[in-house]
Amino acid sequence: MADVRLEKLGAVFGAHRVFEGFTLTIRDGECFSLLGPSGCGKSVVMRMIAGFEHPSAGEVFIGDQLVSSAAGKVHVPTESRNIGVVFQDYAVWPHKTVFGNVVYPLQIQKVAAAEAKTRTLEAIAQVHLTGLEDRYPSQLSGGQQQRVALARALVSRPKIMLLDEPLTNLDANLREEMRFEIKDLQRRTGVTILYVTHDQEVALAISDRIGIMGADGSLRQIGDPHAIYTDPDDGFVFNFLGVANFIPVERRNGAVHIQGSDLPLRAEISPAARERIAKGEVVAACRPFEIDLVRDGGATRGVVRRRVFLGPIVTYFIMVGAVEIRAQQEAAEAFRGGRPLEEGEACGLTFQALRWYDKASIGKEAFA
Amino acid sequence: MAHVILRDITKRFGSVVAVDNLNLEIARGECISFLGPSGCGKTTTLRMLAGFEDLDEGEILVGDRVISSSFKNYYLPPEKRDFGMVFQAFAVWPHLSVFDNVAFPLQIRGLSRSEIREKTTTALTYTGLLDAKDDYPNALSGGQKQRIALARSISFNPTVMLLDEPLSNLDPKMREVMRFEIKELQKRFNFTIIYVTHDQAEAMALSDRIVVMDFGALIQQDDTPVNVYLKPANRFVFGFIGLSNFLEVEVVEKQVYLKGAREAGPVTAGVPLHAPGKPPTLACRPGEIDLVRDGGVRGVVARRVLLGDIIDYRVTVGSTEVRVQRNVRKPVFNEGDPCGLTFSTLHWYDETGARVNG
Amino acid sequence: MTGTDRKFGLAELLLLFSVLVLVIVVAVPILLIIWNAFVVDGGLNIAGVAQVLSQPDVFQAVVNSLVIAAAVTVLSTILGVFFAWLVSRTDLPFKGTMKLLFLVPFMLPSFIGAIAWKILLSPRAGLINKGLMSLFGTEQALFNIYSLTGIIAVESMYLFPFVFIQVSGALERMDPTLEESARISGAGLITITRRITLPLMLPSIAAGALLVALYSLAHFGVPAVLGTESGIFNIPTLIYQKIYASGGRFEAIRAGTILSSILVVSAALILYSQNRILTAGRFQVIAGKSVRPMLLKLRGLKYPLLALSVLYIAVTVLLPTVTIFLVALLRTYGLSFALENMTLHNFTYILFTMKLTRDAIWNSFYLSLAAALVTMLVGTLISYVIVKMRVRGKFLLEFLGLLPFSVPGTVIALGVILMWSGKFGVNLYNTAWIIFVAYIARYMAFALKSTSAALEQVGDSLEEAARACGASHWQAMKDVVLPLIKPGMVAAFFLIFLPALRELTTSVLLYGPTTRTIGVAIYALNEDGETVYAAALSAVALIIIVIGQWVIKKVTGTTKIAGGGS
Repeated sequence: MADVRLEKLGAVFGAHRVFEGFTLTIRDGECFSLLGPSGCGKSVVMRMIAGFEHPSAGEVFIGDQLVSSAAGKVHVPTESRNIGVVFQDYAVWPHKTVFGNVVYPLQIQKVAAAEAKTRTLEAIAQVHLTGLEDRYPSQLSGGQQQRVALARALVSRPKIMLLDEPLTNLDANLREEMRFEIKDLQRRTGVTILYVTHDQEVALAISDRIGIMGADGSLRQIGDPHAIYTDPDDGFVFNFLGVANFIPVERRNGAVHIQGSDLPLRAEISPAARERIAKGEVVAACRPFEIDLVRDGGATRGVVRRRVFLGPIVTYFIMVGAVEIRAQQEAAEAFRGGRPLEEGEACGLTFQALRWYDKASIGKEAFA
Repeated sequence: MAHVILRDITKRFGSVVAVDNLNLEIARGECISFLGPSGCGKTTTLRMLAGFEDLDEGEILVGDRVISSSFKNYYLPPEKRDFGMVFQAFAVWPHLSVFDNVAFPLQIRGLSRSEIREKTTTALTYTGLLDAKDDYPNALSGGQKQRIALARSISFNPTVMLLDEPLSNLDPKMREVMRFEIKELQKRFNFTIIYVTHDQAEAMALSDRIVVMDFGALIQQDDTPVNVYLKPANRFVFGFIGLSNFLEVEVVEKQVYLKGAREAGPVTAGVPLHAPGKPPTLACRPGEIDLVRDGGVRGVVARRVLLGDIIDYRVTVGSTEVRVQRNVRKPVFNEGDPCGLTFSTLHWYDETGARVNG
Repeated sequence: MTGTDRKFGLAELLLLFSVLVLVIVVAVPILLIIWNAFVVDGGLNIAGVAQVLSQPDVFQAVVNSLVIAAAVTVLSTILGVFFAWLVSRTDLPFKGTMKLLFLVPFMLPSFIGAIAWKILLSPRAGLINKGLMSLFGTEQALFNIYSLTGIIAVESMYLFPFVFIQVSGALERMDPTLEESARISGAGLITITRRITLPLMLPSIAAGALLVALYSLAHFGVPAVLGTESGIFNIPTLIYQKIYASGGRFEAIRAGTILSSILVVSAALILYSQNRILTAGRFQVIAGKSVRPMLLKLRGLKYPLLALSVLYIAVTVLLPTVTIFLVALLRTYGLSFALENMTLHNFTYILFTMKLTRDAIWNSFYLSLAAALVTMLVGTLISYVIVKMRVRGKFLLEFLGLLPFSVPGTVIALGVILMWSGKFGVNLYNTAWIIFVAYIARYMAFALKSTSAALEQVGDSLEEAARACGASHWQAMKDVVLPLIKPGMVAAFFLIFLPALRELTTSVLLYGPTTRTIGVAIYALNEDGETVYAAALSAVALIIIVIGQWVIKKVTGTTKIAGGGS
């Protein structure tokens, strides 16, 4: 098992600049997700670690070995890097059986036939496909094909595993199941995993650490999933990981108001934040479930513009001043005591947690 | 007076009964969803309403007009039914401009040019497409194409709109936007909406009434979204809508325990009156169970997964695994931690799946 | 993008090799023709071109070509659209069988069909004419197949499947909700067909129609058999006549190259328009879920239309085929079809005794086999460079690869003559090699299209997965790519081998005394009046084609028809 070090990696191809100065260390034995929007370059990072692409700048280390260096003109070819790769489209070979697919890496390494057979069957058992060794991929479902790809990537006991959006083409139930299997496999074998995806649900569910990439290829934040979700460093990450309210505020008569609202906002705001509010640099941010809704009172008042019942939760779109804020209640809570808040009704909002982010870090889409 | 009536509708494909004696009445201006698993017969029912399939038995009436009747041996073809219809893959004609797409039904009806222009412009305005009226569909996004389909359907002011999984091909954000727009259109034009979907969130968000169907288009529950969610009529509906735990219990001296986990402690003292023998199955939603450090039904956290807003737990109680979901702000339990379960709402279903009142 | 991790040089070498092959085999012959046509003694000579074009026989041939092509296109389009609609959109019974039967004309070489129709409808000796004359007691023959009408009719019979295939395929793949939404909007079937179905079909109809036009312009066989008698020439037959009548004189070659240039330009124009129509009109009309399309209930017309379709097949396919076989069994031409006049002697004679035919069969087989093999292998290599390699300059290959598509067999033959008759020190004229080279040029485009389609099916990730498993680039090719494209390569082989085996247009300009092909032998026998032997060899050719088609189906598991024109 090994760690992966990326030092100032650059991907600049002619006029096309994907990213520059990308530096990251993936620790030995951890499950690391690289999360970002489509086109941000996360797949390129993975492909450079795999050796499918050459970096235009910087270096790639797998364990102690320098495998790619733009300046030093070093490039260890893919086949010599001892890695396992699982592709988005599974890349399972249709002309080979399940067994034929999984045993291939061992055949290339010229492992003795008896040992190869044992290890292959072991790998197939690890992904719960025992009994299907002689089937062809066309006879398997999507989830089963994905497991063949996993087994094939693991059988040669690679130092690291690279997974490129492997669950995107599966339906929701299967995704949940496979998520668990990947995590389970990783725990049992201790292999280092880099998981590349745009789906934050998967990333949050399986990772030891997550790295969030911005659309411009920069690494915005790295950290533990829970911490990143509840307290991200910047507005982009906050918006990317879940539903976010960005609430513009203004100072009026020495108090902080939500933009357009006549009532001052009653919430705990630190002096540092107040200073930045005064300069007009920041907006408030919170998640819909961090707002308590009441009929009377509340830290500020608003009007319910729309109410949507979705089953376990009821979503409210509330106009406070000139700002539309999204809040929610659990269905049981909303219907307790008979009447939930109606459209057009006035209500009170109290904010459990307000974060303050630079307007600049958020990006235009957040305000759409 | 009901606007749309389906009476004793049966439809067979070979030996398969796709729709089995369906009876339904829909009021004018209502938005009703047919919700059920793939192949349950909801789409077949919609296509019979549209006229693309004909019923084997029964009759369909709209207003006081018979649309199709096996008794009277009468069948009105789709082009004469005057319904609006929106399809899953949009079915927008690529060789006609947005304007021509929307104007098509009006042209067929032989309206004058100025009338056509007026009604088309109205429909385009209400769907936000006026600026794109000379564009061609291929240049537009999925959401825009669906708006074209909507505009085309409302341009001739139909009284009934049929929607066949219209939002499935859109991304989640667009789906939310379009749900709202469809609702707004309905409020403005007051047509009756019959909506087919397999997505329960969509059905709940849009409908005045949800008809949950099982195979054969057999109605499991016909009620408001709130009632379908909070008081599912049977086990099928409970399991189909939202996440669920189905737990077997045993009753000892009027206390209810999870099966094989008496030492974990009682779930509740109240149990529905029933005949002696097998107790009903306990059904509860992961969001309606809470975790506590002390007390409750004792168990151990087997798995914990962060899902964003929610943390999903699997808790082992004896040999049973219970799924619990808690908001991410609440204190976190680690895998291996002992914990207690407290239940806020319990649903009971007997072995036929029928609801038993607790 | 970043470069590949192969050693610098190998990829570039392969590119160079591929370019060289395509240039020598394809580009130079065409360039030579254009050069020869427009440049005399080192100077551009447009006046000379105009002078040649204004010669009455040349001018008439050009006009005839255009008239025939236009009429055949119109007729084929009508037939193709009508039958496609009948088979795909109505409740015609036995649709599956009818669909296959309509594709059979594709399999028959049209010049063999022309010979059959000559036997049936020539003004004096034609069987049908004689029958009708004795029936009605008339002196004048009712039909004269030796006419423009005759040529147009026969060509249409065998070319309409081009349109049929495109349109029936498009009709069947069309998203039915496009028509359902029109229906629920209030439109009846006629309105839907007029305003929705037909406009959406237009690109497919146009694609098929343009292909028909291209083939008709370039076609030698039918005008040669039916037109030369009455002095009706089109461009390919006039080129042939001039070159053979003159024995290779300069003016004849020049006229030939000028006429060829016209063919090249028209072909390029047609392909360009087809490209524009397809890309401009390419609508996403393919359905996702497979739902049954709306079928028209024919009611009273059902059986009459079925009868009509069967009659059409009977007349255009069965009748000529039966005629060929019956005539092949006659002791002497002109005898009645009584059992005592039948013999298998003709077959044994052409297969075992007659040197002309034995040589022709042998030549065709080994030339087609060799050409198919070489073209397929080289084509695969070139396709690999185009599809899978990242080298600068690929676009050159793509461009060169497309050229032969637009070049008719006659032009290739003429170009090959110009290039390999001693000009560059190599003289292949009158040898089998010159036919071999011409075949490679003729079928290269097809091999490229077929193998690049197969390669595109092999996603990059399949190779990359092999690399990640430890395989070197070559191992990945051997273990993953090659097995997966093998079916495509085999298909390409057969789909070149069969057409080459039976073609006439190219080899008729290139054959020497010992290098006749089957097509040339049949044509020569027919010209010499040896009708029974021509028929016998034609029958043998038909049998070979049917067997070959069956082998293709067995080997590739598809029912791709290897055919269309000759």
